[in-house]
Amino acid sequence: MHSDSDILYGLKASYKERSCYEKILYDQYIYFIDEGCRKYHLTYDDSFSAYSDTVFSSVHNIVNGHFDGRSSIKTYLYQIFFNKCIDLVRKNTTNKQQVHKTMPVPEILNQLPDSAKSVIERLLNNELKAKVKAHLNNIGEKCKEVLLMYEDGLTDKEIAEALSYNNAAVVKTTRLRCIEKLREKVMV
Amino acid sequence: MNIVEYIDAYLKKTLNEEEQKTFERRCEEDKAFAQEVAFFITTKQALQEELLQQKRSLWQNKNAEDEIPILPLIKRSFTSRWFMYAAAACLVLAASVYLFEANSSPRRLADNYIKTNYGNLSITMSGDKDSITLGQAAYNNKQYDRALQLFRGVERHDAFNSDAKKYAGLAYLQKDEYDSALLQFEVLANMQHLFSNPGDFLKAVTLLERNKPGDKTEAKKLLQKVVNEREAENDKAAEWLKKI
Repeated sequence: MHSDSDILYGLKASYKERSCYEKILYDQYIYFIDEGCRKYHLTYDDSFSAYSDTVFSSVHNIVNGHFDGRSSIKTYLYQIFFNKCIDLVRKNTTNKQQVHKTMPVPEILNQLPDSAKSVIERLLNNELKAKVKAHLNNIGEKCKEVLLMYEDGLTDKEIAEALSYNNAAVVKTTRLRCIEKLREKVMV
Repeated sequence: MNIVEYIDAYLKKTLNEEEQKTFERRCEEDKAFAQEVAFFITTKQALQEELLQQKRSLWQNKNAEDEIPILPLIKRSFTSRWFMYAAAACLVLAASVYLFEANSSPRRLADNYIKTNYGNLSITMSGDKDSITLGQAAYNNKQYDRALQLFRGVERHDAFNSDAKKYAGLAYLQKDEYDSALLQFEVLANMQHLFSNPGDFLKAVTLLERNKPGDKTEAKKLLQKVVNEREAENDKAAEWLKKI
């Protein structure tokens, strides 16, 4: 059993160490999956999905400094897990599965004011997403790796260190070129 | 600043207030720009999903680091080959002597008994997923900490659940936490009105495994009690009394 301070320290350390501590965090509270099955009558797959989503978003919040440490990691994780389980229970029981089959609104969109948000929301669709996903495999492994690491919360400097680039500026240029490459493939 | 940088800067909230307003106005008025923003957001979403997928498989992959690497064969000289044969023969001889000694030792008896009878717990096929079943599954997957959490959870709600006690004791035993295992089996042995109570026998097994000074004598007394009172596993106890 690792203490909260160990885990917080590990998650904020180097990328390699962080990956180890993500796994440690995941293993430490893996019994939540069983609780999801028992308490909320979720299938194992649903409960697993809720739990892995929980660990994923918790790690991002911790790494980005959004976890203020007012509660223990276990309590924090459980609150997020609980909300995700409730969402799944609602989805499964209110007979609105068809509604949920539409594209979920990305959280990032909430930054926009309502008028701009609705314009962008209309342009988001599953077809565009499927196209992006398909072309992500056509931009080259290195490009994909850089984009995924950046999305995982690493700075250009950290990516440069992890992937042995000369400096952060090179990573930034590479990253922007990779998105441009993807854009050209998707937006034709 | 190119368009990708510009959108990224907005979403990261690094633009000033004026620039933010211009950005939002462009989303409403400039369709081509709005499409770029939609593409950028979709890309972020797709990357997040891909990342989550990768992490899921990484987190679930328990044995990746335990995989044995395949090493290339190394050609050895004639003399070193003979030297290796001789070393292997010595090793086999030493292992045979050790196994002969170990197999007849009380500790080995106990160890073999646990491996054979409780290496895996049989799970009922009803398909119900109660805590005991989940605990048994965790035990069978060698996730003893998780199994213990589940068994101890059952005990908190039902202090007289003999299965939870027995399985918790076995999980402690698998973790080599003999004192905790003894405590569980002690409570189990004191449970009355059970059709078959293996508490005393499992206590003896734990003592033989722990193998501290005095443990063997204590285990013998328990085994004798199992035989005399015709408790669960009395046949095995009688057989062991002849051997140890």
